[in-house]
Amino acid sequence: MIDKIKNYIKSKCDSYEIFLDNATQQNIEISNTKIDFISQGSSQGLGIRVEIGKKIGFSSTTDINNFKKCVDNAIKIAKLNKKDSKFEKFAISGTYKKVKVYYKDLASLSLEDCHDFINSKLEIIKNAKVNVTGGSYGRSVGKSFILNSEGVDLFNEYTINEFDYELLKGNVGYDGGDSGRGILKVDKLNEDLEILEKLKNKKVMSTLDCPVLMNYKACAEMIDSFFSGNLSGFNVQQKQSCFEEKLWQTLFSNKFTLIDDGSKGVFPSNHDSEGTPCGETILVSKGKLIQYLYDSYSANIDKVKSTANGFRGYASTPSIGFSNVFIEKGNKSFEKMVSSIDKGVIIDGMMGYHTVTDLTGAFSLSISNGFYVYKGEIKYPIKDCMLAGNFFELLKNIEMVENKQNNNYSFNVPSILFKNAKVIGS
Amino acid sequence: MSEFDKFIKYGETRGCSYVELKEIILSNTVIQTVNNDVKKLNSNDDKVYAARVLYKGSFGLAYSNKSNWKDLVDKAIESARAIKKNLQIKEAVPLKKLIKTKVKIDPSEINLKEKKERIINLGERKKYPKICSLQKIYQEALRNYSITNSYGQYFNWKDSKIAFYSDAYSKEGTEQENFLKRFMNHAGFEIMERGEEIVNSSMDMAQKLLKAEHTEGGNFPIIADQELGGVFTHEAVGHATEADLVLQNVSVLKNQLGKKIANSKVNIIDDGTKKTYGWLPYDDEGIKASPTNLIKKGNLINYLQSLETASIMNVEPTGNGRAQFLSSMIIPRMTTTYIENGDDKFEEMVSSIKKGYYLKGTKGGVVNTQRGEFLFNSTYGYYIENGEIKNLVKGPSLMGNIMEILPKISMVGKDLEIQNGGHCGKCGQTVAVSDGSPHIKIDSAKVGGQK
Repeated sequence: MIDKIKNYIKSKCDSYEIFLDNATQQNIEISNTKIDFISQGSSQGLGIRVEIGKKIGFSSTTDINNFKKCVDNAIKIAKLNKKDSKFEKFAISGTYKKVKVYYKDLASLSLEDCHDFINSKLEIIKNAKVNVTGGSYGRSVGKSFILNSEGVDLFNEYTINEFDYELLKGNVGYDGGDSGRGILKVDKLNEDLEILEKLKNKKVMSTLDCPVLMNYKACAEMIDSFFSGNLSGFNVQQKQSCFEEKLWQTLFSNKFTLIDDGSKGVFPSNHDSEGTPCGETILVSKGKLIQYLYDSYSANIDKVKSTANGFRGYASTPSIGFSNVFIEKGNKSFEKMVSSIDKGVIIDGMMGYHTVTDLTGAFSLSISNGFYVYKGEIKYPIKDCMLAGNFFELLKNIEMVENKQNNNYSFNVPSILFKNAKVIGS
Repeated sequence: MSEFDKFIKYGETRGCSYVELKEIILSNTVIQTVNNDVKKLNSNDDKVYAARVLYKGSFGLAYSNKSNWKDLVDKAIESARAIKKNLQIKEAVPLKKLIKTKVKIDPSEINLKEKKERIINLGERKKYPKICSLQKIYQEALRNYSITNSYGQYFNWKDSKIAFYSDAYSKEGTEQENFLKRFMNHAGFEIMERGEEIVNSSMDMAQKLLKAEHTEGGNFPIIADQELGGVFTHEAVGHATEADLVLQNVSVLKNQLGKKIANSKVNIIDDGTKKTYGWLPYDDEGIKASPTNLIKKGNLINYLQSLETASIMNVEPTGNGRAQFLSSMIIPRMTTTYIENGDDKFEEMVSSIKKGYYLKGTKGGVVNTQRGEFLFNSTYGYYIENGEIKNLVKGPSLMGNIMEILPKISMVGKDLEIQNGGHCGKCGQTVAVSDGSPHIKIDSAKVGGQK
């Protein structure tokens, strides 16, 4: 099929990109510690990008046999479009790392096997006398093709699965999960059940300017919320980022180093969804901003190489985002960081990240799960508190960084102790 | 016998007590411009087919981009087989309903070039010198949606849905701000007549916010405008009334039916018949929309139901069974949710506050229905001192607890506006909703502030 499309498209435009994806999915929904609903299906789609005299057009369809209509439509759109003098070319090929993206053992699970896998996890939770109020498991097995006029010609078979659960014991809730390309170990489940126990009997605390220890989950959420949009090379170019004209400036504490690497982590890939080879990109080095995230279009504008951060489905053109994120570890154990706090809080999770003002870094978020610490000891879980401040200020004031990277979905980060932040309590 | 009927019959002969077949043919157009450059000019054609069955008391679902109905019915039965439930849904009468969204200007009759030019030319950028970047996004979805089921019902909805966003970025010295303004509805291209006003007002507010002060964090009395009041209604009440969450023991409104949970001035309704972005004449299970009173004179009187939750709770479905895609599980969701008019005057609300805030607009919100905690953001507001509206403030977050805050709504205005079109997320699914409210006064709310 891909050859037929190529043969049809190549003489009609100056350059082109063909993106084809075909996957089967099984989805299991959980309610009240039981499997509640199952769906299964398949999806396929074709996305075509063309360039004719620096005019770009995009069209997609689920009706792959009717690819000629999709190609013709993309060409029609390109002809209607304004010339984009900033367009250079689609992604270029390169040396691809050998990364395992397909796990046969996951792909070969039957629906019944998936069902049994979830039930085995539910059994562990039930034995801990905990209820799973809601949750889901999804598995996808697919094939993708990316082919363009610059020589990218890639075919991949891939597997993905993800398990999310919402735990409840008494009136205390806690969410967790696991995801990856192979059969999941769900090894954070025991840790999550332990935290749930510790969250019993939440208390209010008074408003306090104090040290704040964000554990790895809270750090992952914060980094995702504040950095992913602001580090986008496209957003910087369009003056929609707080990092415009800030390259090579020291903006944060020298204890903070931020890296994106699509070839590592729980969702490794050998290339992004344009076909650019994945690898390590150091974004912030010891507090200094040294790199933005790019797809091929925005990289060409800044005359740099794409960092392989163009992501898309068949129905859209690429958008820039993180792949797998790493924060360099420090040299203190979590326990050591807790014992260094005279009066402060530990934050395990916050709510409301979509309300953060990206341009200024100003935030006021609800602390979903946290603990009050006094004289180096965790005293009690807290409720009805907000954390307010500015991410720029917070990341300038790093006191300590944990001595290990913990995985949380596509993030691999240590816990971080901040010198001071405002906790709004009663 | 139609093709649909043939495969419904096939499912029934395999032992299904109910078979539902669906088809969506969708055509999307997206135009994104940044500073008058076109960054996206995309067109998508999608076809999706799905079969949902009730087999031995359990629902099962299968979907595909190919209309292989027999295979879909077989896979849906396989899905249902793995579940052990005892659901019984109420039989419905045969019905044929053809719905067409009213449009004055059919979007498919305007060529893409003209649409693109219209979007580019919206807004008087020169009048707003501090604007450093302006992004506009136009999204058009033309959808032909059919449902047919074992009860001889056939629904077809030829829908036209348009959403427009204007996001203006301002800069002065080291200060930076942005302001997003949007509108969306089931309508034709005629709604783009509002485009000029939307783009200009987003640029105007982005400039004004450069000079705005931060709020002081703490507990204050607040007045919420119609837009913020709408989001409050959606987050602080609407979600906790969704019956699936009640059945999962993760709603603070479980066991509260018939009880007084809010001030007597508060009446809240969810109504799929309203011709807003949340319009849902028939839900994704073919149930006709009608207004559902959620809170009446402060008392909780109903939950929002799908066929399944209604069957478990032994009540009537409320027309709130919705799914984002044909591949998604149908669950209770809101449509258009609003607080009814009261009889308090806005001026009296302001004069009753010694120190507090008048907060306007919203960037959206989030709720944890199990703990009853919610958080949402206003886009901007004004400081109130000694009964007078003072300086402009940058929009802070508001946090609270559902059960504690509902009795604190002490005044309800008589200026209801349902204006928000928005997208609501739950269980990984996003659906179109609207909400609204008159001005309301809350005696004490936790305001997040940087001061």
